[in-house]
Amino acid sequence: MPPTTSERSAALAPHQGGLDQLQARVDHLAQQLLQARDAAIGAEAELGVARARVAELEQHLHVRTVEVEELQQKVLALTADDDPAPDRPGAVARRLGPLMARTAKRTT
Amino acid sequence: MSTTLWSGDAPIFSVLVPVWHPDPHHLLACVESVRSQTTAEWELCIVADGPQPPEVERLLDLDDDRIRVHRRPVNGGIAAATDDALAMARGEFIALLDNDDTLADEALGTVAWEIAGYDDVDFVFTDEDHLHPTTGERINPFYKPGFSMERLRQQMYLGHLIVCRRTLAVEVGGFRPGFDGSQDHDLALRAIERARRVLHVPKLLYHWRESPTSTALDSGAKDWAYEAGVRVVASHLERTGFPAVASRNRDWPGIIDLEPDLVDHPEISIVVPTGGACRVVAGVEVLLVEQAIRSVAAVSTYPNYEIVVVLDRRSDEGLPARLAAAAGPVPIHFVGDHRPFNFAAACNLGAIRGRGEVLLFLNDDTEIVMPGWMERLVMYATRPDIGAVGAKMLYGDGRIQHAGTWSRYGNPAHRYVGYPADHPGYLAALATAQNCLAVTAACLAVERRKFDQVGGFATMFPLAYNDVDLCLKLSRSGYRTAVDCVTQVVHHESSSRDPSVEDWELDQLLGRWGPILAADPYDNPNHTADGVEEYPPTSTFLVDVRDHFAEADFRARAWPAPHAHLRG
Repeated sequence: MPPTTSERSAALAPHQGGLDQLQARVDHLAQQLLQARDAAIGAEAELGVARARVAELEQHLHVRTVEVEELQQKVLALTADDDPAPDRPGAVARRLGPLMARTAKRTT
Repeated sequence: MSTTLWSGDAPIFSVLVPVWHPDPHHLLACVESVRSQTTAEWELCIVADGPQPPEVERLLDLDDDRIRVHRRPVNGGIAAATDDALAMARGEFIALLDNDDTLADEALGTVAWEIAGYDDVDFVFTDEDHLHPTTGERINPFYKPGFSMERLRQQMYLGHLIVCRRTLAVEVGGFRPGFDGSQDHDLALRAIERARRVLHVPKLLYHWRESPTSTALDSGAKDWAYEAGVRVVASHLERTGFPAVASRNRDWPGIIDLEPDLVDHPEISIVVPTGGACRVVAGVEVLLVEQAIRSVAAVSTYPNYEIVVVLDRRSDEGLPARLAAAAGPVPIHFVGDHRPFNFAAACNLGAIRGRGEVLLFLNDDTEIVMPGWMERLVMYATRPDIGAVGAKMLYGDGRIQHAGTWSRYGNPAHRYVGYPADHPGYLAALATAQNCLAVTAACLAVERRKFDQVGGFATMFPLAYNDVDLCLKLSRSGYRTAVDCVTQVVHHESSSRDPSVEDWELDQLLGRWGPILAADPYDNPNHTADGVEEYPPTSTFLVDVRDHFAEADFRARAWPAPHAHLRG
């Protein structure tokens, strides 16, 4: 005959402390497993957010780069208009230098 | 006149128009609205469903090789006529247009543009408004949520304009006779059951003419159509193995009720974290968790469940005995959690100790009032493509506390807070189940295997947002979130703890889910925090329902629906 519930409880009573410790250990491990899975999914999600942000910044940078190039073209065109016999390239660069530096600064 | 402009063998769109004795002026407007499309990528397939009046016949004698007309010798009904039009179609997609309605000029071009953003779109629907029956002015806009399989099962909310890949429409058998009046709902369900992607274009691209015989004006005008709707849904339930019986909702025309018809009753573990708080309810001081458990045991009809109570360090030693007495014959287990309070961790511990295949998280300040509540939640939670399922939560005074969570400007919040319990919601949204961004963990059912798969509740959210995070993790793993607004649970909210939320928890949530929370797929972008934009719109992007709906209706703005989840 299988033992009754009370017989089983009586038989387990001396070991209850150990069983409780074991149960706590199992609970702990199971929770750690859940946390590890959560961390993995959370990390993926955070990576997705970061990638979206990077893509947004890249787009922003691209737009700014195009704007800078357009400004540079305008500056060069204006310089050519003002000075039909332009200086040597080095002199043009010296004159445009501060302006270019300002445009570059705007983009960063 | 030879005006075929598309470059390939066939246009993108075949517009299907079944014709049955329309007002000639309305038919003319209908046809002209197609001819005025900003894209040339269309053909018009008209089927005259039996002999038509002479004025209509004259109009159908069109000199335009983009328009083809087929004349049925006898009237066969709208399903048969539309099916004939489908047989004529050569386009990549079919678009459905009734013979007295009109398309916005940019309708097909806009849909083509949206489809081009993906390579797997099989079904598209757009927002719509009505045309006044006498003046023809635009009225009553319907700004729809994103796609919601759960809502579509109970309501043909997709309406017009709907566009379906032609090969898919043919593959599922086209328009079936016997479903006249709900033939579009029938096609939508059968097509979407197999569709790879359903797209919502939140722009008013279709104008539905109100007439005394159309459901646009009088929802009682087509009772036979609603009866056909029940047959449509019953057919869908049978095809998909959805364990429910369909019937017609007597209060809200066009809504199909679903009554659970469960084949299996998997064991449910009801997990109740508690600190043993007391509160005055209806003038009497009650031990909240005792009231919750007593109501579960007394009211529930579900045959196979256990209760797991997670006792935190605030609870006193006599609590288990009181709760065991309240549970009566229902199996109840107790787990001590002596760590600092962390709701997420307590729920996880209770889930670990439970045996059930389905986990049902229930706050200790809830009260069960509906016998079949667990059956309803299991009906949804055990679907292979649904993750978390929630209920409509009511305050003790009967007002709505929760009907799903949505996100506005990155801030998740309960929808319909403070509305009367019987409020129908925006176009009867609260008479159905529907998909939404998240549901509250105050009453949340989920299959254990799905809960385990995503790592349960994140303990980094000890107080708030753990439920939103769980639902978004499930969503990311391919499971829709649903709220069944028919299931009602009383929630004496935040009786057990401070209801305020911490900024740092919201920051953590945004760190994981910022882009989704900033653009809730179940919301409609035409709406703003204060209502809606301008209506009638000066462009399809601008709208305003404030003059056309009661204050409560436009404030409600109830939209649920899944973006990428498609199969029912």
